[in-house]
Amino acid sequence: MRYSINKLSKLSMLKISKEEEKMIAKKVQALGELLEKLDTVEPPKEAFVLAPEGEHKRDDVPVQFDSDEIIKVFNNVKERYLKGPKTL
Amino acid sequence: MEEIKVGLEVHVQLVTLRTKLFCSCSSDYRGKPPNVNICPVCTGLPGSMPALNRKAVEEALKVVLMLNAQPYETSYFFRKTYFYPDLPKNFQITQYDKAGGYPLAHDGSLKLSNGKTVRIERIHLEEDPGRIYYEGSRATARYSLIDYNRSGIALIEIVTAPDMSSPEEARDFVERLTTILSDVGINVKDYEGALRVDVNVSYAGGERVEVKNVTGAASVEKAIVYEAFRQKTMYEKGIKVVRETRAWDEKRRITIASRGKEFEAEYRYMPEPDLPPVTVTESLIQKVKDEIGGSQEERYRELISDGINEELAKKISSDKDLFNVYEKIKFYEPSLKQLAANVLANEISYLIKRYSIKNLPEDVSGLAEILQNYKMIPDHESAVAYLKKWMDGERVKVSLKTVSAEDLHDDIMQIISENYDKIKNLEYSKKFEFLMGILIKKFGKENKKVLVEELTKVLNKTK
Amino acid sequence: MNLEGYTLQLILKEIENGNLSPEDVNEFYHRRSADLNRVLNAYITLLDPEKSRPEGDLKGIAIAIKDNISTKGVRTTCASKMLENYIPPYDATAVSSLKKHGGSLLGKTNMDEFAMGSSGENSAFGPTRNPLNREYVTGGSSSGSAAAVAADMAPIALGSDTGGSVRAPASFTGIIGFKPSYGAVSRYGLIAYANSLEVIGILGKSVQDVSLLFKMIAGKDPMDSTSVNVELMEKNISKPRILVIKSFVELSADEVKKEFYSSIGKLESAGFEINYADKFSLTDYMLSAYYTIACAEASTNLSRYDGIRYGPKVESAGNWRDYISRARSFFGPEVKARIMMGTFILSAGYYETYYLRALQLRKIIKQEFEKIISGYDAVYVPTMPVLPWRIGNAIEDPKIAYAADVLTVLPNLTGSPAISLPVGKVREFFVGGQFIGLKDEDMKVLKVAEMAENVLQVKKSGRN
Repeated sequence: MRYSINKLSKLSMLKISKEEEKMIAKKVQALGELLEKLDTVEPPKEAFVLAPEGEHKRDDVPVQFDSDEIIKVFNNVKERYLKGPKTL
Repeated sequence: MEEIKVGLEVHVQLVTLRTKLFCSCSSDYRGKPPNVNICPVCTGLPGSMPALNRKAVEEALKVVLMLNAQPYETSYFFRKTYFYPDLPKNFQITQYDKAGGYPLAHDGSLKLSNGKTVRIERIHLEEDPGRIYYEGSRATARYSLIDYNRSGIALIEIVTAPDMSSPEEARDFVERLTTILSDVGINVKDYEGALRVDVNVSYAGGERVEVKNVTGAASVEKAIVYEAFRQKTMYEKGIKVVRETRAWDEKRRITIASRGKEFEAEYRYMPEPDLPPVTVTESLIQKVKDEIGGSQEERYRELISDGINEELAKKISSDKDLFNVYEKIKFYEPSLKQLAANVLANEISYLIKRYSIKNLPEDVSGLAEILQNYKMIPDHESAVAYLKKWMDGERVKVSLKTVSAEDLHDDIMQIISENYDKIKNLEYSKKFEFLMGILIKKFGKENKKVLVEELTKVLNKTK
Repeated sequence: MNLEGYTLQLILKEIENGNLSPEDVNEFYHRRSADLNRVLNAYITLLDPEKSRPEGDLKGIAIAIKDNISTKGVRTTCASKMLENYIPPYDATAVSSLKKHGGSLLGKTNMDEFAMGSSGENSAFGPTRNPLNREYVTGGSSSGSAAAVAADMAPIALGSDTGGSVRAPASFTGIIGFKPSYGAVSRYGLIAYANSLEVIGILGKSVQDVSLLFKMIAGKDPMDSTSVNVELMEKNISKPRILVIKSFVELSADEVKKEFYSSIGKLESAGFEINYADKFSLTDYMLSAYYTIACAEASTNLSRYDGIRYGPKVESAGNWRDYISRARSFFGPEVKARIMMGTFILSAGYYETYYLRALQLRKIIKQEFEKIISGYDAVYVPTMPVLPWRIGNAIEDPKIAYAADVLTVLPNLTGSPAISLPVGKVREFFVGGQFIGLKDEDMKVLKVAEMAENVLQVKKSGRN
């Protein structure tokens, strides 16, 4: 199976420490072996999605959530703005 | 000049909705303090789940039908993964036409002013991200400030084929689209940033370059002019244009290379497991068709054929609400249509703006009453007062008691004598105010002008 | 007062009769939990007993809740450093349903981080220990909920089941674990691991206990578009028709197999109609389909943990990419491995090879299951192919843990209700058997399980 732990951790935005690298590699390897079984499966004739069943939509009626409760959850706040990292 | 090819991805906020696409937060975010219209869903808190706004599908279908596109019977939501601080889940819920997915609709078209047809490849629903602000400039700010009021607002994305071959055609497309949107009530012009365009430009058969986030028709034209020129210059110097994403700098009027390259391959699309597919039935399409009614062009033609002049017809046809009232009055009493057109285009339009009135009353009998007695209303001020009363949803009865100056004289004299004890020691202005109160009660506000005139005369004489 | 072995129903009856007060009950479980938690590590957060007594069927009784189910004002960690200090501003729908019925909160239970694991060892707060033998795993991922119920640290508990996470620990600790049909209980507020597979489940001391709680939390919820109303009327079955899939039983260790077959004999003597199917043709592919779908969904679900809105605040001199990567280093190794695998599965070129094939398999598995079960009330197979292992073994060899899911993932792939109950005993441990039914026929499997429970009487020591 062609993947590198390095590339996958970058794509997943995960920093991996030296200590855990070996353990993660072992787990990824074990999961990869399970995946390999799928190589023998006949691929579906055309792509499809398995969607949840049923039909559910809500009405266009506003419900006010107490936004102060959400602001309390935020890590860093400045004048009700969430203070985030630099975006450059 | 070698040929350029332009394709557009137009993002339109469904501004007619009251709530967001996947949660019940109010969609009315402009001018609001930051982070007031937020909940666990649109801030991506752990455990929250999306629930689709029924009306969003209906509003999107209006646009689909106006653009002659074909709705899919079943369409799916997908997760499009990319990391960015304005995207609370780090994936956007959108629709996708690959990997087994179907968008809301496909294969539409829009005719440009020059008669050329631009093909529309697909139309789909998706959620808007939040907004990022910077103190000072983006380059120097030490942190970002994020407001999620916009996060989760319902968008439709309209994707065209690369059928436009000049900046002007692209501008025309956006302008025509804006008109079509307003035909179904989606007045993007009234909402800042409600229409945003990603422009794809390729020069002389070269790689296409995507210019992201261009707001408004005029900027679309400018961005393409610049980008075509940039690519032409490279072509002439023999430099290969690479496929990339650029950003439009509105101030400097240039496009700039974006640092983070985003390729389709990295979006890792997958079906959204928390949302059932969207089904569009024949009866839903019929319902939406019934709601749409005609286009501005159709409305304009009808007004002209009614003998309404071009200026009034243009004004009334551009606003579906005004036109609906016109239609109702015409049905109620055909002889009133000319006067109705006048009043709608002038007084009523003025009042709508002046008092930011959102909806006109369904019942037009009050307006008909005003129009039928319009000539007998003594002055313009009173007429406007009557109209405002109707627009506020109050019952309107035009007082037919026309008051003549002679009759008034006797009435005023009688009132003065009845109240002589009360007013004899009052100053002129207080005396005037007191008597006007009684007179208005007796003869109505609409006669205010003649009452003032006559009372002044009488008081001046008896001084 | 000692409530060891008391079922929830018995407690409610004793309160009704005036022999117990809700305060006494909550006090007992609180004190015992505070005491035993030092050795068993079942709770991540233990709350002080509530003073006020809510009205309703549950009479204020406090219930243990798995720490991936959102509780307003009470931190909900998913047993992860990533959410160590996260306090939800809202209750999961299942939690508000329990509160409406007069339930209160006993504490938040330990688990495998983000519900990823079958043993209870992958917790940032340390492994949960099995009350039957503290050197052994409880099974997971609802490890703390199972340990709490098994050790009388809670009368009953909520868990979640993505690939066996309620049934596996129930089996390893000798209690009842019920995984309702997909959508039967709202997932709103359940912190997602793999949305299309999971559901909130119940761990209790008797089938009637879990049935009672199930009826309180079941039902369609406007906040969860995948939720449905399942039939909640009691089923009357005189002679349960059971299908045993031999190829499933054969995957089990000998001691499990022996006890399981012996339970079949007892059921048959008690009037159960037992039938056999030799095999389920897709047995070999169930784990592959399960892990492909679970990792794919997990990788996108967990992309939201970036430390920007909530979670660890990190020092970063760099830009947002650097910030996010640093914050995301707070995930444990199992979570990182599954996110990376999911990222791989969803990346261009592999989506078709793995993800679409897994969906296709899932569809075929569901069709085959519906075919094989028709004419029967339930399928009966062992819950876990092995007995609990020593804490640490699966960390050495991750394949042990992945393979242990082989018998539990089927109901998650098909959306079926499934209930595990102790059906045999080996040394200090129990062997669990599970009844699996057709989707939305939850009351049927509950009824069959209740009848089997009465026949087998594996845990005679418990007071009922």
